[in-house]
Amino acid sequence: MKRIAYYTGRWSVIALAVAAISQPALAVDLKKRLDVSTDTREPEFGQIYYDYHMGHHFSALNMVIQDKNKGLFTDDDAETESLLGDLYTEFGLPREADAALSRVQAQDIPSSTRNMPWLRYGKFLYQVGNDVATENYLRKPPANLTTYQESERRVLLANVLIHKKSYGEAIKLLTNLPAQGALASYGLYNLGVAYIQEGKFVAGIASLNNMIRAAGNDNESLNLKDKAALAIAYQYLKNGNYEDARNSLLRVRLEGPYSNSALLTLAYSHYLSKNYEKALPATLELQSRNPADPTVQEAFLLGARVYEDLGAKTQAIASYRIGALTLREQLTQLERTALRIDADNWPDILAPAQVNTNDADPLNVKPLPATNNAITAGLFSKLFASPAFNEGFKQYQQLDRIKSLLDTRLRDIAALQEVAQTLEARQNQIPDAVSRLKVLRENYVTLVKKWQAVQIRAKRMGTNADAYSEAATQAETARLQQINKLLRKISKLGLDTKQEQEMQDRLNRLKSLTMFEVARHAASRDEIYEKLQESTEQLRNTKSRLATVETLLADNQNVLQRKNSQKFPELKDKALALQTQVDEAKLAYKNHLRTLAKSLLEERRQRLTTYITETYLGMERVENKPSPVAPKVSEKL
Amino acid sequence: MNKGYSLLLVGCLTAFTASVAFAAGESSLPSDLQDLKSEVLSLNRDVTQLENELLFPSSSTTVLMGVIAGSKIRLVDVKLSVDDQIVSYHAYSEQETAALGKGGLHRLFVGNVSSGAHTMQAVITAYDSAGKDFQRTVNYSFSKNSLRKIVEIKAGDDNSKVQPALFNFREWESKN
Repeated sequence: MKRIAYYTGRWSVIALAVAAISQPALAVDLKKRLDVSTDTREPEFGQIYYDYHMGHHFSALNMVIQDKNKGLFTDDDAETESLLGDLYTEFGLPREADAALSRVQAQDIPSSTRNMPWLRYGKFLYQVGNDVATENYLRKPPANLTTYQESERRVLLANVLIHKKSYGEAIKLLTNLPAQGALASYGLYNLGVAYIQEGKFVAGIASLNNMIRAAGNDNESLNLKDKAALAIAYQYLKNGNYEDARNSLLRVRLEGPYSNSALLTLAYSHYLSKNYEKALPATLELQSRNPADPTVQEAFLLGARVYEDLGAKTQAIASYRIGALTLREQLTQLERTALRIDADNWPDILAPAQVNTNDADPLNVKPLPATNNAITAGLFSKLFASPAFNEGFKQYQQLDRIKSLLDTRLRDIAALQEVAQTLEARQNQIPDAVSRLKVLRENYVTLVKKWQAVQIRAKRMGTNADAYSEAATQAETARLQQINKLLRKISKLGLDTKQEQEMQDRLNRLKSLTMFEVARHAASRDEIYEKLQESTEQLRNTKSRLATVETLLADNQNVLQRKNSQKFPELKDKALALQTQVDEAKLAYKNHLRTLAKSLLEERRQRLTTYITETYLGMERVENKPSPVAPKVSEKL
Repeated sequence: MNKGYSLLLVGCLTAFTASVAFAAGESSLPSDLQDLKSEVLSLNRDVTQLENELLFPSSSTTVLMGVIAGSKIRLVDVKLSVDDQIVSYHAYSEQETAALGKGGLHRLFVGNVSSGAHTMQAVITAYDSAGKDFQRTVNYSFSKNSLRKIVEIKAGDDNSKVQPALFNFREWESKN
């Protein structure tokens, strides 16, 4: 108490000065407090956006749902709803996506924000092959689609119409498409296809040629150009126009996804017009390529046939033999692949997911599987070109990641249950903590009152030197007490007025000297300032700590009230049940993919068997007929 | 023999006519798979909610790192200390840099910090708008109370070219 009294005395002298000095500091503090926003939507959305752009779409979806649950975002937040609709669409939940996007449609927001997810949902319907729903959806576009969005809508809708053979309407949609770049190229290509399907060959070929002229030089455009040139060549070949077919084929790149088909078609165009020698270079080039490709396999047969038709008996027999050997080897490879398809790790080996990477996000499934031997060998290239397999494989990969997610969640549930049980074990400590906190709060209030009293006294000290007495030492206090005692006794001494006054003045001087002595050794102005500042800070920290303890206590009480540990067994059961369901769905997709792969293998097997038979028949024919006659064009087609 | 050859041409033509720019799927998504996904999402939501309740009570502190949209600054790494104690280090990949450039905010640190005054120090290595690498140490003091605290460090170009970059701090407080 003495110490408190000592310090209190020291504070008093320059309380007013301190108050004046601390004004700027308080202003800074207040400014900082005003800068602290309480609307956390911006940083929350920033974090969601980060996850979204990192490809962690499942995590972004989860965060949006969490934040909506917390009331941070509402159904009226168009940006969030738009993103939510987009993410639901990507996760394959059209019902939820539709609901979110409907809410966006009702909002008064920029059309660019509203229309992007609308189109994305249309693409989703298209990708899952729901043609009727896609057509109905795309026929009712919202207002103010951008030129690019409108072009995309028309291309998608035209594709659906081509599927259902409504070529006329598809042509109308694709004519004068207001698009640029890759989308314009796709539009022209599909317009060409629609024209050809409707029997308007000249217009179809013109559209495909326009596309080849206008398309850019990026990889996607170059592939599309090759495809269009090949399509034109097929059309000319069908009409028996070999020269024009060859001219179109020469536009296809030698190294590209359509080069093998182009080379084979080129060889055929020469062969069918009986230019046997000219058919050889393309055929031999093809024979040097990967024999897993059916066009290369076909080239082995065609090469031998060309030699046969040229009357080169030795070369023809040798070619048939080489062809038979190569094709038999391919048949063996095919059987090995068939066995691999039955293995447990199929189709996982087609695109192995990396552990502990972005790949773990169930929505971070790449549109095409990672390059590996099975695909580059050409065996499954047709499979991956099929939407059924591609979509099925995507679902399979997603289910695989969902399974990993459930494994992680099961581990989380076990760990969280332990945390909840530990917290609940402290249940008995909470009433004690509450009462201790109450005492602390009361102490704090008392302290604040004392501090206020000190402040008041400090103000008073500015005008009254008596207030210094509390800073006096023990001896000084005793002396002051003695002086005061003497002052009181003066009247009892029976002195006259003058003497009494003189005595009183002397004692007052003595008292003043003592007070001066006290003030002289009292704390310096800076020391008092520091102590005052320190105590103000300490009080503020104490207040803040008490509030934090109260929050923690409230958190603990809430957690206890919710009885979280009882929720975990239910969650665990749910996770286990979901794991079983995911396993079943995964197996269903695995079998579906196996069926597709096997049906492709069967088709390849039959083709290879036919080709091998052809090689043996060819060998026999060449050996028995020394001078072969080239077949007529009409016979070949 | 000839039949075999003509088969190829027919096959090629069929492939051509069937191929369109955006290939459509042949099978639709089974509805039970949608239910399954909904259930997974709901379970994940419940577990995350409990995780937040139990591990990060309402008074947690989050430090976020961001880049002003349109800025050409490329972050290399950030070392974050709170009260002279290293609490986080992160090296940014190209994809992460792109995500930051698009307005994303990276969570550098999430944890429980005692209430009261704290100092934060971030040692940031980055490339400035001219592609020159630099390292800067920025300090910030903040006061933690009973509410949830979010502190954002945002990097941006210094248009006056006096410094390679500017780093601004912002604070948020909320009950949830």
